[in-house]
Amino acid sequence: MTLDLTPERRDLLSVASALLDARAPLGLAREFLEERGDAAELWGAMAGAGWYGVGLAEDDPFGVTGLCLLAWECGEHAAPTPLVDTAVAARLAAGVPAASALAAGDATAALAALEGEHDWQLTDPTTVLRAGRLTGTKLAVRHAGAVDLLAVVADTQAGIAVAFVPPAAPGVTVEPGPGLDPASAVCRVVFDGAPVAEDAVLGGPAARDQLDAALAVGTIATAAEGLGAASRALTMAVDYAQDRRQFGRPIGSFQALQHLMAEAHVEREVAWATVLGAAGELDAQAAGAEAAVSLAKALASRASRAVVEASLQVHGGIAFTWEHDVHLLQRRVLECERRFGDAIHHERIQGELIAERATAALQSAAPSAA
Amino acid sequence: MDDVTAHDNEHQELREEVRAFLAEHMPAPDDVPVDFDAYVEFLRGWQRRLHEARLVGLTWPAEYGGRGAPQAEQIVVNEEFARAEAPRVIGFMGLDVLGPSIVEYGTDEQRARYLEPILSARELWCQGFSEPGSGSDLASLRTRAVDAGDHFVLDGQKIWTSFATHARWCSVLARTDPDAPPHKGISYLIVDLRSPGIEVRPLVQVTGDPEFTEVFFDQVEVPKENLLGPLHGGWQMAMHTLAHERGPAALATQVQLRVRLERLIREAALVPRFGRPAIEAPEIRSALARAHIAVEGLRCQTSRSSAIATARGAPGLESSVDKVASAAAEQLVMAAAMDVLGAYATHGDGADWGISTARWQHGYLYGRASSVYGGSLQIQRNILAERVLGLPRSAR
Repeated sequence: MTLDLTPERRDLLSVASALLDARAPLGLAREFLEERGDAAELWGAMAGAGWYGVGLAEDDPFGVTGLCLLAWECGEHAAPTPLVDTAVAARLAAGVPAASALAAGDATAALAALEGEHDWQLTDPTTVLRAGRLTGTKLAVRHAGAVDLLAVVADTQAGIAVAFVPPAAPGVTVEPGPGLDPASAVCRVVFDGAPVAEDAVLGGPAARDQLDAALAVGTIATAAEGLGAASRALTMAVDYAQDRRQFGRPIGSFQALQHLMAEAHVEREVAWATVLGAAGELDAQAAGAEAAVSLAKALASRASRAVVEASLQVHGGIAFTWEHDVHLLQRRVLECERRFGDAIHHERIQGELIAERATAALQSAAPSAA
Repeated sequence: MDDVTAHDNEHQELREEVRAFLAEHMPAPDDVPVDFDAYVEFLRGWQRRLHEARLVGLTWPAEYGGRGAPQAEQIVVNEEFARAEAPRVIGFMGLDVLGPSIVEYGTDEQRARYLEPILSARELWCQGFSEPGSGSDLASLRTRAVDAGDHFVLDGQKIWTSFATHARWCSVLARTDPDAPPHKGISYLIVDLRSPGIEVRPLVQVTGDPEFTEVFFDQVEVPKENLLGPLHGGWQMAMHTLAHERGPAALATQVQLRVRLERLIREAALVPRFGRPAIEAPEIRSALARAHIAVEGLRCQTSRSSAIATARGAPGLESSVDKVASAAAEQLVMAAAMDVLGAYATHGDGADWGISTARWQHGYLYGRASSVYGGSLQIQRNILAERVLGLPRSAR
C-alpha cells in the first residue's frame, strides 16, 4: 500500500523492486551464505541507479524517506549492499576533500564505529587518531574489504572525529567473519598506525552532532531494512499457507495460523507507519526527530523479529532446513535488529526521555523560590 | 507531546480558534455533575455549544452543519480538546457512526431530518446491532421486521446498547427476509425509541457506569420511510459503518491516550515505589517506555491510514489494523498505570500524592473492553487474515 507516498517516491520504490528482483534474488544472499558471493554487478547497478546519492541534495525529491524505501527493498531481498552505511558516511563526508566522491553519491563506504565497550552508544572510542595515524579495532564493519572507503569513528585530542580511509591502505587489516548474516559481511577491522591524510578527517567541535545526525539516518534506514526482510518472510508464509495442506485443508484456513499472521501484519504495518513518520520528521528537520527515530527503531526491531518468527512458525519444519530461503531473511532481520542499537538500547533512551519529562513537569509545578 | 500535524502550520489558525473557544467555555471540574442523568444533560449542553461554534462534525458537508473539512482538521480539534481534558462528546455514536451512514446512504428527507440534531446533540442515537445470541456472529441476529404495508412490525431484543436510556433514535439491524442466507436478509432501520412497544432496561457496566442497556421490541411499528438504504441490504451498510467507525475511533483514542500517558508520566514522579519516586525504578521506566512507544506507533498508524483513506477517497480495511493497535496501546497504558501505582493501585482515592487512583482503576477496567467492542480483536484478525492477507476462509 503506497497511497501515502509521493508519486516520485512511489516510482523509486517500484524501480528499486524491479532492479533488486533482477540483480539480487535471494539466491545471491545464499551465495554469500555459502562463501562464494560476489555483489559487484549489483553494486554497479545500484551506483548506476544513483542510490548512493539518494536524499543527499537539497532539492532531491526522495529524502530520507526515499532512502528508507530503498533500504526496505534491500531487506526484502536480503541483498548484500553497502546502501545504509554509504548513506551515513556520505552525510559525514561533506567538507572532507578526500571523501568528496562519497559526498557526491559516487562511492561506497562502510561505517567503522562499533567497538567492545559502549556498543551503539559510540561514546569514548578506544580507536585513536594521533599525528595522522589511526590505531584501534572496530567490529561489525559491513563489506569492509569491498567498499571504497571506511568511515572510522575515532578519538582525537580535540574530541571525536571521523577519518576516511581506504580499506587497502597500509596498516589496515580486514578480517572477514562469516557472522550470522553472511550477506551483511560483517568484518573485524584492525588499524595499526594506518596513515590518514589531513584532508580525510571530519573533526572539530561540531563533529559529534554531525555524527549523531548521520547515525539517525542510518538508524531509521536500518529499521526499514529489517522490516523489509521481515515483511518478505510474512509474504512467504502467507503464500505457503495457501499451498500447504494438512488435515485435508490448506493450513492457511486454520484460525490459529490466520491469527498469527494477522497479528504479524499488524506489527509490520504499525512499525512501518512509525518508520515513515520518523523519516518524515528527519526530512522536515523537525525538533525531536532524533527521538522519533530512536522510538521507531525500538518498535521496528521488536516488530521485525516477531514477524519473521511468526513466518518460521507457519512454515514449520521446512523453514528449519538449510535449503529453505526464509532463514536468509531471518538472518537479515537479526542483523538489522542489532545494528544502530537494538530494542533494549532504544527503549532505554525512551525511558530516559520520559524521566526527564516527569522531572521537568514536577519542577515547573513546584512553587518558585520567589 | 508531538502533534499529528506538528509539521504544517496551515492548521495553526484552527488551533487558535479552538483554544480561544476553550478559554471561554471550558467548564470547571466542579461544574461536571456526578449524577448520571445530570451528567448526560450537561454533556448535551456542552456539545450544543461546540456545534454553535461548528467544532463538531467538521468533515460533514456544510449544508448539514459541518465544515466540509478534511479529516486532519477534525484531528486538530480533537487534539486540542484532549489536551485541555475537555468533556467528552456525548453524541459520538451519531457523529462517527450513524451520521456518516445517513450522509452516504440516506434519502434527502432523511438527511434533512436527522443530521442537524445529531450535531447539536438535540437528539442522541444508539446502535442496535448486538443481540444476546449474536455478538461476534452478528449475521445470526434474530430481531425481525415484518412487512405490514406502510410500516414494518419489529420484534426482538438488542443488548450492549449504549445510552439508549437517553437516546431518541436507535439504528436497528433486523431480519426482513428469513428465507435468505443470513447476510442477505438483514435491513437497517431507524427506530424512534418513543414508539409504543419499546422497553429500555439499563445495564450497569463493570466500571459502575449505567451506559449500557438492553432494548426490547414488542410489535413496534416502524414507518417504511425509516428504512436506511436498500431493503435486505443492511449487512453491507453495517459492515461499512463499522469499518468507517474504526479509523476515527482509533484517531480519537490515540489523542486521548497521549494525554493520559503524559499525566501518568507526571504522576510517576509523585508516587513512591521502593522508597523513591516510581519514575526512578528502571522497571517502571521500561513499562512507561513500552506504553509510550505503542501510543506513538498508534499515532503514526492512524495518521498513515487516514492519509491512505483520504488519497483513496474511502476508508479501507487498514482500519482493522488501527483498531487492533488502538486496543493494544490502550491496554498497555492502563497496565503501565497499574504498575506505576503498584501497591496503591487498588486503593481508593485519598492517598497523599494528589492523584486519583479511581481514575486509573476506571481506565484499566474500561480499557479491557477496547478489544471487545466494535468487533472483537479476534474478529479483526479474521478480517485481516481473510480479506487483507487473502488467506482461505476458515471453518466456523
